[in-house]
Amino acid sequence: MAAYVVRRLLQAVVLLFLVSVLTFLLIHSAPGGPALLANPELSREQIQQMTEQLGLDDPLPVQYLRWLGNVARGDFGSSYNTVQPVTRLIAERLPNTVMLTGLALVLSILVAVPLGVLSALKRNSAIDRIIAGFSFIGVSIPVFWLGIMLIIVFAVQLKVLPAGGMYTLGAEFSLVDRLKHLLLPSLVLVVANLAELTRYTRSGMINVLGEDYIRTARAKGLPNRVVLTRHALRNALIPVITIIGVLLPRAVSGAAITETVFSWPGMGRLAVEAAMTRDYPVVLGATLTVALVVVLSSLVTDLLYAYIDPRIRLS
Amino acid sequence: MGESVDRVLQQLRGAGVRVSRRELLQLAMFSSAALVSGAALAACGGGEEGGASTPSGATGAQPSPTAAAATTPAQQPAATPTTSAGQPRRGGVWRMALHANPTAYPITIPGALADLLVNKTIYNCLTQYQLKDNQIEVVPDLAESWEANDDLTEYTFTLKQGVKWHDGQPFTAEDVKFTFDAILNPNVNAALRGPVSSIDRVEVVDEYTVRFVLKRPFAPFPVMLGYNQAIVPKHLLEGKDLNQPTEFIANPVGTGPFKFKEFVQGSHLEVVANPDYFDGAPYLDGIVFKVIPDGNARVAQVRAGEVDFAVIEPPQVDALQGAENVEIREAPQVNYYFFAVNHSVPRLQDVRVRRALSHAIDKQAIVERVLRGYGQVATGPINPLLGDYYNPDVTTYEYDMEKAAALLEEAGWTKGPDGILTNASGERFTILFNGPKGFPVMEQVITYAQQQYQKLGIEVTLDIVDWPIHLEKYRNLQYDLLMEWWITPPDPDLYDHYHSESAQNRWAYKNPQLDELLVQARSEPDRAKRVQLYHEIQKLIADDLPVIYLYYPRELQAMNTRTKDLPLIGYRDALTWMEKVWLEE
Repeated sequence: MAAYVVRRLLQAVVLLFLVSVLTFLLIHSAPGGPALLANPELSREQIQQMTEQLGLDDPLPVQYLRWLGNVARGDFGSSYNTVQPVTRLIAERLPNTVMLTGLALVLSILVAVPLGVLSALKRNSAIDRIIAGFSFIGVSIPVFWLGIMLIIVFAVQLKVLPAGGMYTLGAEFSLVDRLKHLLLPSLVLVVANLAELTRYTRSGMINVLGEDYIRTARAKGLPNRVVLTRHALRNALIPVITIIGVLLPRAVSGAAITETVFSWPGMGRLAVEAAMTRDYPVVLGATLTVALVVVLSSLVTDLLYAYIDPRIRLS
Repeated sequence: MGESVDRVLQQLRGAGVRVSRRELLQLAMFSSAALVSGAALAACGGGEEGGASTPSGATGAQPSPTAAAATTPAQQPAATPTTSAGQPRRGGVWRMALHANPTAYPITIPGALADLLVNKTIYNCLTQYQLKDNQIEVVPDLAESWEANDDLTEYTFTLKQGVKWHDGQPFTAEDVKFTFDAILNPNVNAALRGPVSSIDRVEVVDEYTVRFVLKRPFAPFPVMLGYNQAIVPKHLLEGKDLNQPTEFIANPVGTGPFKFKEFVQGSHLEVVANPDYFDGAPYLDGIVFKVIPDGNARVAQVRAGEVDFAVIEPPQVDALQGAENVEIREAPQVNYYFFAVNHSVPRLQDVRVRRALSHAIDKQAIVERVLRGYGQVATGPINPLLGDYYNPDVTTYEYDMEKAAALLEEAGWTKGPDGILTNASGERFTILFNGPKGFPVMEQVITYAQQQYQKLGIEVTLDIVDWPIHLEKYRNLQYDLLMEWWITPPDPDLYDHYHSESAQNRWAYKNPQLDELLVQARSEPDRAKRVQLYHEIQKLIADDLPVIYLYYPRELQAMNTRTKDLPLIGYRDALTWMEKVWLEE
């Protein structure tokens, strides 16, 4: 087990290295340099000078190795746009995103798993179709549209919830205030997650319910509740965990569109804004952070498999 | 002929109406793209925001301050700043929307719009602008007064006494010298060196007197000092890395009516009242600049009363109609939109061709239907806001497709068998038309122009690209026509953009006669003579048509009506008067 984890972590280092090379190549091959230099007031000489100062006139391998050398010393560089260290930017934004997407993920699981089980048990009934219908509507609604609609209804018309931001500016910290600001954006994310989770739970559950060991359990005369929770659900959750493993990195990479519509200062916005303005150090820092989380969460997912299904051996 | 155009414009308008909805979606989807453009735009002092246009009574949503003015031919807003209702009241926090993260440090890049706006409240320049009698004039800010020598090569500024930095240190002539030495230092990435590049050296005469020795006679110098040239404290920045003064940026110190309080990345920047402000303590307790990247979210927050002020686009006016406590103001700004012409392309060097290209565009229809009336047809590069400098009596290019066709034929272009114009040597008339992505109004205008030029038999290829690429192509003359705008200081000086030796002349335009006049006009100490020279210059420009002039847009401000005494000028300038603003109960 320990050897397995160590091996996976070593693989992760190689993977992160490859991700950084790829990101570096991609962002540098995108046309139009840093938006910083796209200032009509700057003269040709000034642009030349700044290009040199930022080291952007060196060959790409030289630039990459310089960046890698700095990273090895713990220096991820500073944002071109805000002149702040990349590590600080990410440290400021990451908790905001985890708060929002984490809450959304938990809510999604709490809602989707029971709905999926219900769908499976009442397969092809009216309830199943209604749940499926709503899931598909949820996954089909564009996030930005739903976000703006919710703002118009709850903030502009009813005036019961804030239109954006993380908290009421100038007010003392209060949990209620924070939850009010979290409600609409996390609702948008829950709606978007719901379909996937519900459908996976449903199909997992249906598969398991047809298994021999369920029939055996029932034949032993176990109560239905015990059969479902002990025998069926636990096994049906394996594909669900896979999906959560996919959703988890999303919780860190942020939900750029939702964060933008709700003026939420999260990672998604940071990364997208950096990519659009070709803020190279921030793009690299944000991508690596997300890549790290992807690697770690896939490791955690694999470990969870082994816990849930003892037939799976890690080796 | 008019009919078919009407149809096209009707479609455009239809598109325009839909844009308000589609844009809503697009903006949400690509708001990051808008951000980039926003930031970049900002850089040029303008923006999607300031740039694109400004509404008029068309919507019926506006209250009257500007309505009366809008009917006058020049369409200049009234001089009176705002509706002042009663006695100013102290207290309250004013909340304004920004589209991007600001950096409260005025010397170096990015120097984006968000930075400029925030800096107006924290710092002061030596001069600032106000609107008086329908024209913008320069008035003292940190300066008490100034005088120039006879040939305008030396300006001596007397500074206000008793001004203190937010940390309590006195403001002196040393700070002024330090600031301009920094901006002019070639190792400093000063974003706005252009306006003060005429300075040769700065001399401290005494504690409250500073002398600027210029490289050449320069009449608009005091105007340029008010153009985002904020003074920074020497005692905190001396010896620091001026390109990256991390400590200072974390805790900026100015002389302005508001002091920096906090900046939360991606969320907001807050400033609080400076009770010791030299021009009297502000009425407001503070200002919160909220970072709201999405255009529709900005509108929603204005409607919800969570933001007191946001600059919006014409298509967003509908979304604010009938909103409680929201006033939509049209603010004048020194800005013009145009089609840049690449003069290194032989077929565009013929003035008849450029005139034909102008005749083929119905500018009045663009103003009415694309800008929805929030603007005015441009006659040249000098804005009517510059008062008597503006010369309306110049050659204009009325919409006339037949005349356009005739001019092209005169220039040797005749339609070939495929309907494309061809000259004697068999060259086909093609136009590579460049524009920046993410600006709905500009994209509509360019599409319209493409249709118009195609009707004349010109093969038009659109090249709508991301902002940085657009600027790169502009800078490298990789276009035939290109849509752009210039927001300039409120002075008629056109040297930077029109003189053949200026690096900012992005059109490869050369006109020796104009070159001479431009140098003469910026060196002329006598105002009346200067006015005369600029009238002549405008005539010359209108005849030779270096670029195709389109319109002077107005800025659309969505403002909560509790805001009082915010001057009705573009927000870049209005924000320098925040100490006067107060909030109604």
